Amino acid sequence: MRGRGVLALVGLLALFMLSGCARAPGTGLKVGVLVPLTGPFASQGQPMQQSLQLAVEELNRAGGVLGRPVELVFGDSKGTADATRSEALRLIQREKVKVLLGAYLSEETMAAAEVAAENRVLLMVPVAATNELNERVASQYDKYKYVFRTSYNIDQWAGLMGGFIADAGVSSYAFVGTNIRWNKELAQALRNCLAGSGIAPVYEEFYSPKEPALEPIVVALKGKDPGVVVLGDPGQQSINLVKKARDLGLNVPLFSVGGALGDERVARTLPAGGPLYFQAAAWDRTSEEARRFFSAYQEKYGYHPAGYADILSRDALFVLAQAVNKAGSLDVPRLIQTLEQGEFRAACGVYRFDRSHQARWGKGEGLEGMVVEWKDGRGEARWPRM
Amino acid sequence: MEQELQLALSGLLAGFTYALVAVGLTLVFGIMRVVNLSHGAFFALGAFVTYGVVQWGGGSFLALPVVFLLSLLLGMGLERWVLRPVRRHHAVVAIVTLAVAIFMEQVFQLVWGPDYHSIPRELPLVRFMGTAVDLQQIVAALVAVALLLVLFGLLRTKIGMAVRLVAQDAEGAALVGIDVPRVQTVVFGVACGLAAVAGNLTAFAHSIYPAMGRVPLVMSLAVVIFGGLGNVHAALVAGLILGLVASGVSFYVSPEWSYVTMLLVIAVGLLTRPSGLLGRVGRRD
Amino acid sequence: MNRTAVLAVVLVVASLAAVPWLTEDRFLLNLLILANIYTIYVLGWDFLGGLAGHTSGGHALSFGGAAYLAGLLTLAGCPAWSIPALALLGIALVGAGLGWLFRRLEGVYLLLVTLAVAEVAHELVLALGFTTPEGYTIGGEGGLPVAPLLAREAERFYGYLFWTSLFALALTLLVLYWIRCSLPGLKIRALAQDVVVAQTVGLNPDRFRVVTFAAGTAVGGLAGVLYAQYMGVAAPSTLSLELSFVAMTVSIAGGKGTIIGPAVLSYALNVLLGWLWVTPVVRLLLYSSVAILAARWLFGRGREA
Repeated sequence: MRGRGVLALVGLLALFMLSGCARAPGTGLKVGVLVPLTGPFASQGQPMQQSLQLAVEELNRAGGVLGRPVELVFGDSKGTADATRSEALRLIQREKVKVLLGAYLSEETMAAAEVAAENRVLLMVPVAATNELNERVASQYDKYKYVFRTSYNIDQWAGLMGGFIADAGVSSYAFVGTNIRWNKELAQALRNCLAGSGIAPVYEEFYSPKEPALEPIVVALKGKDPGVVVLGDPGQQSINLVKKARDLGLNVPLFSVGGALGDERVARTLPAGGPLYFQAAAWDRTSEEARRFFSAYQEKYGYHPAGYADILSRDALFVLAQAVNKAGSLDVPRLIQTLEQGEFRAACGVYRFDRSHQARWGKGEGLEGMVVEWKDGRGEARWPRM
Repeated sequence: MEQELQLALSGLLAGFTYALVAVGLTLVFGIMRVVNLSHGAFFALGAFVTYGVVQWGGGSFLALPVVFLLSLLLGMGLERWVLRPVRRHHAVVAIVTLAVAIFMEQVFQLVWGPDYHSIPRELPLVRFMGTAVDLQQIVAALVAVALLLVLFGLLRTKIGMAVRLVAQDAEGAALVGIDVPRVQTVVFGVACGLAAVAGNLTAFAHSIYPAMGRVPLVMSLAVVIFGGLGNVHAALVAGLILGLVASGVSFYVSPEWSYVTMLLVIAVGLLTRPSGLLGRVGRRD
Repeated sequence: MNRTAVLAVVLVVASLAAVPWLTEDRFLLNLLILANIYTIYVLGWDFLGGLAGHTSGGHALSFGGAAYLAGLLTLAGCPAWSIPALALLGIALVGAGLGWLFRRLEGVYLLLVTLAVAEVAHELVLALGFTTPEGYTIGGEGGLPVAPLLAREAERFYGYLFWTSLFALALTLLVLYWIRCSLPGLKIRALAQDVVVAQTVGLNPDRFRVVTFAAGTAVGGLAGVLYAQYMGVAAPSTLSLELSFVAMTVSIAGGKGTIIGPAVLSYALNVLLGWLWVTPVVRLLLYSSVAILAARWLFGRGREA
C-alpha cells in the first residue's frame, strides 16, 4: 500500500512537471541567465529578469548580434550554490546557450564561475560584489579567464560613495549595515577610502538581517551625531531603519548603498526628515541610453527601478553584444581578447576591464555611478555634479 | 536616562505585538497540541491585506476588521480540511503547516510581486519629555492589549470554560458533550486572526515582503516557549519581557546577536524548563 | 528483510554505475551526483526520525555542519586526504553530544530545539568571516572553500564523484536497511514505539539516543562531506531551514522508517525536478499543494505514520 502510494505521488509529480516541458526552439544567439526567481532573494532576481527582457527587445530591434536575434533562457538559481550549478549545466548542455549571465549572490556566482570555467563558456557577472571573483581571475587566469564583471566591486563601491561623502564637506560619518561579510568589507573599504580626506567614522554597527530591534541603533546614532549615516544594507531592514530614524528625530543625511531604498514606491511612503540619498549605477541624467531604458522600464512595469541590478543587467547584455559584434564571431578566445582590450559604451558609461576582468568604476574611469536624492517622491541626480 | 527611557518604551511596545502573535500560537498548542508553522504567514497575510486596502484608498485601521475576518475564515478552513486529518502526527503537522506557509508566500509573490513594499504612517509622533512617542505604535499596543483582554475575558465565560476544558482534557470534554472539533476549529481560526491583526498593526513600521512572516514565527516561538507552551496569560508577560530583552541585547551587546538570542531562548528554554519559566503545567505529549 | 527490495536496489545501483561509461553528459552526471548526495542526506533523517522516532527539525545541521567542518579543516591546513574522515568523525561527535543533551525531549519539543540549534549555526556561518594568510576574507555568505581529494580539472572528476557518491549511497542504503531488519533495528523501533515497555526488557533509552543521533548525524554528514568535495565549497545554504524540512518531508512521504521508500522517492524527486523545467513560482505552489494533499491521503483518518 505504501509502495503504491509513493509511486502514485511520483507519477503525479511527473505529470505536473511535464506540463512545463515544451520549449520552442529559436534561431538566434542563446544567452543563459542565472537569477534567483524563487527563494529568499527573489526580490532581486525579478528586476534583473524584467530588465533583461526589456534589454533583449531593444537589442533585437537594433539588429541583434551578428545579424541574428538574441534569445534569453532563464535559469532559477534559487539562492543556493548547487541549484546554480545544476541550472548552469542545464543551460549549457540542454539549452545550448553560448554565454552565461548572472548570478546574484556570492555563493551563486562562484558556482556559476566554476561551471563556466569547466565548460569554457563566457560568464558576464552584472552584480555580486564579492572580491573573491576577481581574485580568482587574477591568480588562476587560465582557469577563470571566462569570467567578466561589469558591476562595481566592493573597493570601487566604497570609492563611489566615499567621493560623494568627501565632497559633501562633513567631518564625520557613521556606518550601519547587516553583519554579512560584504557589508563589513564595504565598511572597511569606506574607512580606508575616507581616511585620506580626514573623515573618520564615529559609529560602526552591524545587525542581523533578521534583527527584530532597530531602535537601539537609532538611539545610539543620535548620541553620536554623525555628519552622514551610511546604510550598507540593500535589504528590507534598511526601510525599517529609515522609518525608525526619522520617527525618532534623527535628521542627519542618510546615504544608502541602494537596493530597497532605491525603489520609488517605497521612497514615497517614508516619513519626512533629513535628506535621503542612495548610490545607483546610473540615473536618467547619466546618458541618453540610460534615460531611454528607465523610461521604457517605467512604461512597461509602472515604476522607476533602483538603478542597480536592473540597469547593470541590461548593460552586461549590451557589452556582451558589442563584444561579439566587434569580435565578429562567438569564438571564446577571440571574445575574451576583445573584452580585455576593448571599450564598450552602454547606459552607465564606457566599460573597460582591468587585468582581473573587473570593469573600471571610479572618478575619471568612464563609469562613475550616480548618487540620487529622493525629493518629493522623485529621484534627483546629485553627484557627480553636472 | 533619556536613551534608556526610549529603549524601554520601544521594547515594551514591540513586546505587545510579540505577545499578540504569540498568544495565538500558544492557544493552538494548548487546545490541539500542535505547533502551527504557518502562523508567521498569517502575520504576513495581515500586512499584505493592509497594504492592499491602503493602495485601494482605505486606511490601515479600516483594514483591521477585514484582516481579522479573512484570517479567521482561512484559519478555520485550514484546520478543518488540512490539519484535522493529520493532527496526531507532529512531524506531519510540521510539514503540512510549513507547506501552507510556502504556499501562502508564493501567493503573496504572485499577487504583489517579490519586491519590498511599504505603507506610510497615519498617526504622527509627538515629543513628550524629550522622548519621541509614536502615537500609531501606542494605538497598536492599546489595540493589542484590548484584544488580549477580550480574549482573557472570554476565557472566563462559559464558552471560555469549554475551551479551557478542551485544553486540559479533550476526551473528558467530549464526554460532557462539548463539540471538541468545533472548538478546535474556531480557536485555530481566532489564533490565525490574531496573528494577522498583529501584522496589520505593525505594517506601517516595517517593509512588507513575501517571507516577512519567518522572523515573527521564530519570535513568537521564543515567547511561547519562554512563557510555557499552552499558557496564554504567560504569553503576554513573556512577550513584554522578550521585547525588552531584544531591545537590551541590541543596545548593550550588539544588534548582530538579538535574533540568535531569541533562538537560544528557544533551545535553552526547551532544555531546562519545557513548561516555561512561568508555567506550572507539566509537559504532556 | 525484503529480498526483492534488496535485489532491486543492487540491480539499480549496478546499472547506474555504468552511466559514466555510457555518457559524458555533465548535466546528467551532475543531476545524479546531487541525487546520490541528497538521498544519503534524507536517509540520515529516515534513520533518526523515521526508524528511531526522534523528530529532528534541524537535520541540515548534520549536512552543512560536516561541510563547514571540512571547510574549517581546509582553513587549518589539514592534508586533503584526511579532511573527509575528520569532518565525518567531528559531526558524528556533535550528533552524539546533541543526542545526549536532548535526551529528555520528545516530539514537537525535540523538533523545535533541533530547529533552533540549526538556525543558530546558520546565523553563525553567515556572520563569521576569516582572513586568509594572503589577506583576503572568506566565509560569511560566500562560504568556505574545501580542499578536494581529486582536482576539479581532472578528466575523470565527474566520474570519480559519481562513483564515490553512488557507492556511499549503496553502502548507506544496505547498512541501514540491514539494521532496520535486524535485532538492533528491532530494539530501536521498540524504543520508538514505547519507551517504558522497552526499558522493562532492559533497553537503555539514553544510550540508544546517543547512538542513533550519532548515526543519523553521521549519515547526513556523509552527504555533507560529499557535497563539499563536489562543490568545492561549504555554502551557507547547506544549513538552511528549507533543507531541514526537505529531509523530513521526503522521509515521511516515502514511508517513515522504511529506508527503501524514502530513498526511492528522494532519488525520483531529485531527478525529475532537476531534469524538467517548471516556472519557479508554479513549481513551489505545486510542491506545497502536493505535500498537503499527500499528507492528507497518507495520514488522514487515523492511519499510523
